[in-house]
Amino acid sequence: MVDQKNEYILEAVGIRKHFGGVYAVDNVDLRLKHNEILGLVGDNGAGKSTLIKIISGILKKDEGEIYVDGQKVDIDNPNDANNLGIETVYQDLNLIDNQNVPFNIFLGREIIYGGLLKYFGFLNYKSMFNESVNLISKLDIGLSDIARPMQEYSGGQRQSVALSKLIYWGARIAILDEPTAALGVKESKKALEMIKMLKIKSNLSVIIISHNLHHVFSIVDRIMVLRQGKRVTVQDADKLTADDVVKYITGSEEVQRARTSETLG
Amino acid sequence: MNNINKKTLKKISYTIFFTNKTIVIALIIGIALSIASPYFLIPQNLFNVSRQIVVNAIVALGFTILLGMGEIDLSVGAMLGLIGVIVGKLMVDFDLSVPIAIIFALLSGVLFGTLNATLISAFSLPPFIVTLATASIFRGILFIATNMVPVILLPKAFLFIGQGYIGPVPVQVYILVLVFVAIYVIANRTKFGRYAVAIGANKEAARISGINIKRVRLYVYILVGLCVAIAAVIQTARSASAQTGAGLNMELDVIAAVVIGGTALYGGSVNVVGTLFGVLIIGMVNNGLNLLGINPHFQIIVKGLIILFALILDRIGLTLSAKQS
Repeated sequence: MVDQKNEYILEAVGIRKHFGGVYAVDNVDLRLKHNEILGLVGDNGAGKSTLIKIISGILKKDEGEIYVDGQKVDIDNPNDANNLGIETVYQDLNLIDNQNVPFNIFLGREIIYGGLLKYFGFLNYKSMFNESVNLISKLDIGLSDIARPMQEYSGGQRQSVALSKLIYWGARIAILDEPTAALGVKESKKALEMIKMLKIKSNLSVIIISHNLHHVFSIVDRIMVLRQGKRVTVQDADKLTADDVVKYITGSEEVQRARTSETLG
Repeated sequence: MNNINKKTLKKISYTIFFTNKTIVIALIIGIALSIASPYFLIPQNLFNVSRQIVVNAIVALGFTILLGMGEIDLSVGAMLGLIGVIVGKLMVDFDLSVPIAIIFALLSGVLFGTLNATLISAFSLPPFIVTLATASIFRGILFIATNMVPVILLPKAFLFIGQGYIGPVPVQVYILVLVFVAIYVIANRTKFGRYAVAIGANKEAARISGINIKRVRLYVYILVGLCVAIAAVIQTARSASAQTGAGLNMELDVIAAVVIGGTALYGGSVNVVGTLFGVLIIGMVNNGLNLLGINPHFQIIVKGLIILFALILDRIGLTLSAKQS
């Protein structure tokens, strides 16, 4: 236990979740090391989304335990996860499109005036705006005017706003769901670079879900494969080829499955 | 060159029209009515219009935040009628003092709002259907409680709220101003108002950001209930009686006013100032049709047409802004 405390920032052990009679996630372990990027891959319906929704507090698990820094934790809602430093960016980014950058960065955690006004939840527009400007310039994202509504920005800019929100809120563990799915080639490259930069500069540990194996390999330290709700393998990325991963995902070779049992852990 | 100028001019005039469409339309209707009827612009008639719109305006202001959240309350009319009867009966049959009766009216608004929100949240039901059902229940209780006889002989002190003046200004106009300021501040300056808009724009994003949707919904429906209660007190005092038909079809006027005012029909934005002008437009149209001696049944058709007009404008405005970006 002491060893694990040092090695892993996040551990989800024996996680199960069923919908109706089907186990979407069946007795899965996920371990995330400090300051690593873990790629989570698998076919549609393999249970990736269910697993990360459990970790980020959107779904409740049926069975299993979650540890952060070796301490057992209860995550019943998104706020619990946020308080533990777990922040998630979903595929559709979940931005309020007709509102501006500060609105989105502070959504759910607005800065309000103190004193008597506190009880009425009076918004402090000025400091939210200033904080956003500082953040955007600190992270070196090329946004000229943060007062414009989100819908006027490009996909890459929207992605970077979602990522900076996560940094602002002190994420230690970032879960990124298909961060490049909506982006073009150039913007995908930029987004991946930003994730790498955040890993180093902000000492972030990252779980990244992606369909694009090329993107996964360009950025991750380890790869974990899910198939039909079960963990098939988890290995260092440099010991795998894209072909290997495809085989694990589709389960096309039983040999691979046999080999898997040795590498689990 | 000339062509480009014309294009930008056209674009600018479009933008001006769509961002301020409510005020522009209110002005056009005002001018048209003052030309059509010599009585429209006389002070007495203008005071009439303002008094007629106060009740609708107060309900519509609360409704603005509700519609901004992407939900609806079709029970406001029946609720207004029922709360009017409650406040009337408490004073006449139970001899309660005016302030105590008013407090009970406000509590009823809180209770009815809580009922609507709880039904919607607890069983994940569509607000449209839930409030249609509670409207029917409220109206039924009202009919049984009154036996279809209006509550009359209300105390003088109570009537002052709906008929009195402080200086040259009717008491109810002061109340409207207070409600307007409160709703404006809530909608634009508080976390609560911001959460309602966020839920209307993107419910999933709001949920993921840790916003407690059920709690915000509860407060919004309570806010609507409170506005309805205030409006019910004014309405009852103004007509010196609690009428069994009070608030009938009020939903239509209120929704029309809020949508004309520029609040998005499907939620995601609020325009509190716009709602006031929306109510003014509906009020002017009702008043104008009366002044011109037009068959009251036509007024219902005209109201339907206004709502359709507002919806189409809303849609065109949306398409326009989508094209620009």
